[in-house]
Parts: sequence; C-alpha cells; structure tokens
Amino acid sequence: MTTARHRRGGWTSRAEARRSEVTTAQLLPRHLREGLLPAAAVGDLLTATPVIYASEVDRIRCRPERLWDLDEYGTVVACGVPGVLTTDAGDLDALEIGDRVVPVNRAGLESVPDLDPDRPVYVEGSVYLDTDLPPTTGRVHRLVAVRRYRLRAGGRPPRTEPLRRIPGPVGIDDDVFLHVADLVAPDVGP
Amino acid sequence: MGTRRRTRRTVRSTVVRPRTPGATAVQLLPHLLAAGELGRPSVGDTLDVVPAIYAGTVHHDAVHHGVSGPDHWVVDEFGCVDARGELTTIRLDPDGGCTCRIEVLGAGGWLAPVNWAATQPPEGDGPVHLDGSLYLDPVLEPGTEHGDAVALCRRPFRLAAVRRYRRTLDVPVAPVPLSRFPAPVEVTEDAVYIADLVADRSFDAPEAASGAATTSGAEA
Repeated sequence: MTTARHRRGGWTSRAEARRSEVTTAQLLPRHLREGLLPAAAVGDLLTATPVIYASEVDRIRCRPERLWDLDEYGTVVACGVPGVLTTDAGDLDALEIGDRVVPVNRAGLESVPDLDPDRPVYVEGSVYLDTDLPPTTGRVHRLVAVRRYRLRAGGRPPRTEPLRRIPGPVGIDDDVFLHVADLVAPDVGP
Repeated sequence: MGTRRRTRRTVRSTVVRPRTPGATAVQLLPHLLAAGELGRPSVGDTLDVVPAIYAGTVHHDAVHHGVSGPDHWVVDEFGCVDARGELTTIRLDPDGGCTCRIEVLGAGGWLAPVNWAATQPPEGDGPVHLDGSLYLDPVLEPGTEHGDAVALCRRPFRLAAVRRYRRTLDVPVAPVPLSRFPAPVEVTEDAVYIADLVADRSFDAPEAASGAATTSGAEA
C-alpha cells in the first residue's frame, strides 16, 4: 500500500489532516530589510524553519497538556514537553507537542518560572521564519500565501493586503506592522 | 388558547417510537447510500461493521491538572456521539514503507476509528475528549487495508431498526421506520438515515488493541 493510495481512500487520519494544515509564520522586518529571507513567490517551494519566539513560558496549571493553536497572524499558544532538537548548529530548545517538535527561541523571555523537567509547559508567543539556523535544519514547505497588515488612521482595524511573493528589501514601509507567510506541506498543490 | 393548539398538534403528529433497548444509533450518510456502498441489509440481519466517529469538536478538557477524566461514551438517537477516552495510533502497513496510520478511540468499552476530515486532530495520542457523529464507512469493510487494520473494532451487530428523519437546521424531525437500508434511488440529501445497531457481544480483546498493534513513533 502506498501513501498516495492511502490518501485516496477517503479516510482522513491525523497525518492526512496534518498534511493540509497551514502554518502561518511571521516575516520579521529586520530579515525583510536585510534581504535574508528567500525571494519565493506564492506557489513556490522553500526550505524554512518556523520557530516559536516565546513571550511567555509558564507551568501548565489547569491548561491542556497538548495544545497547538496557531492563528492567521502567526501568534501561537502551545502546550507540550520541553525538549531538545539536535541540529548541525548544535542543540536547540524545542517544544514537543505529541509528534510535533518545534524549536523555541527564548531570547524574548524576561523570566522563566521554576519548571519541573519532563513536565508539560505552556508557551505563548509568535511563530517566525528563522534565517540564522543552517538550511539543513529546515523542512521544505510550499508557500501558499503572503500577507501584510497595514495600520489605518483613526483606530480602524488594520487592512489586510495579499502579496504575490515574499517582499524584497526595498519598499518595506513603516505603516505595515506585520508580514506573514502561510506554509503547507510540499505535496499539497499550489 | 395557544397552549391548547400546541397540545392538539403534538398529539396528532407525534408518534411515540421508543428506541430499541441497548441499541446504538449509527448514521447512514446519504452520499454513501446513493452510491450503493452500504448495501441493503434488512431489519433483523446481522452486520459485521466498524462504526466510526466523524469528529466534530475536540475538547481540551480531557486532562485537568494532570488527571484525565473517567471514560465516557454517549450516543443519542441521531448517532451523535460524545466520547472521552484514550486515543491510539495503529499502523496500517506495519511491514511496508507506508507511513499510513489510523487513530482509534477506546472509550467506555468501545473501540472506534476516528476520521478527522472536519476538525483539527489533537496533538499525539493519549487522553482525548471529542464529539462527532457515529457512521458507517465503506473504507473500513473487511478486506480493505483500513478495514483489516481496525479488525479489533469490528463485531457483529443486529440491525434492530432503520429510520428516516427529515433534516432541519436543528434536530431531525418526523421519524419514519424503514424495513431495510434505502435503495440508491430513494435516497435524498434532505433526510437523515439512522440505523439502530445492537451488539451481539463485546469486543474480542480490547486490551490487545493498546499493546500489540500500536506505535508511538514520530510522524514522517
């Protein structure tokens, strides 16, 4: 039995559901201005490492032990077990949520509470596309959308502007407060 | 005045049709009936089937402060299921190279495969609380790869009743008893088809399901 036949069977297992899942990652302004991100167009394949930039880490308390909730702005709420991801660049902090392992950047944390090792933790933050890790760390994704959110005057909600590609270093203006990219598995069609 | 009218209408149109004792209601999906994929068994026949869960909502209260709640399995007369138990991943092809898996929920003495087409699945195996609908899927028939992988979930059921309801935006209404699964030409998308199944016996070896056939490895 092949994976393709399995998929045509009409049954959606967790792996099938995961394959069509969209990962929304933020494109950081500094990376855009310095041209560090791949110049990929929507529909292209790119090798990338989505990383959690943690803004809060806490004990699990009464929260669920396994949770992955990533919204269309790239902000994430996750519960899982702290782990280590071994890469060419050394060991990275990671969060293991079931069979999902995501690297965690703790640079933005002011303080971390005393955490029991091997106990689940709660992590809140944003998912961004990393440019510092070696490409061998990354996985191939298909880019299905790029959006930017622009501030509007008078406190109105921000305007969503779809883009055709990840923007280059020129033309990143200050009214745009957020760029995001939607990534899916490479075998999901463009 | 209003009360009297409502009372009279209820008496006229409501037929009291008690549920079969011990029966589990299972949905027969119109598009599968219309394609003739579920066959045409009659009431009283014995069916060797695997009722599966089409997951609607995954609740995040399966574990609270590290304690998982008691098992829970409730199916209403329309085949809507609310279940809390343990999720296990079974490899479809243990010897081959396929990474295909199927997830099975063990809850309250039931073993039911879960289809995640309509919801984001929970992360990993373990305690889970979900609701959805119980339905018959031809993918799980014996002889197919999916069907053989979930052989432990299969057991004989007596088909105790078949009913057709009118589909509304709310609860299905106006049940009509049928003598057998409807023929493809009779099937309409405006109806909800329900089969009452009575299990002849419990599962063969529920404890073997969590030991022999499971994997906990990382997904590819």
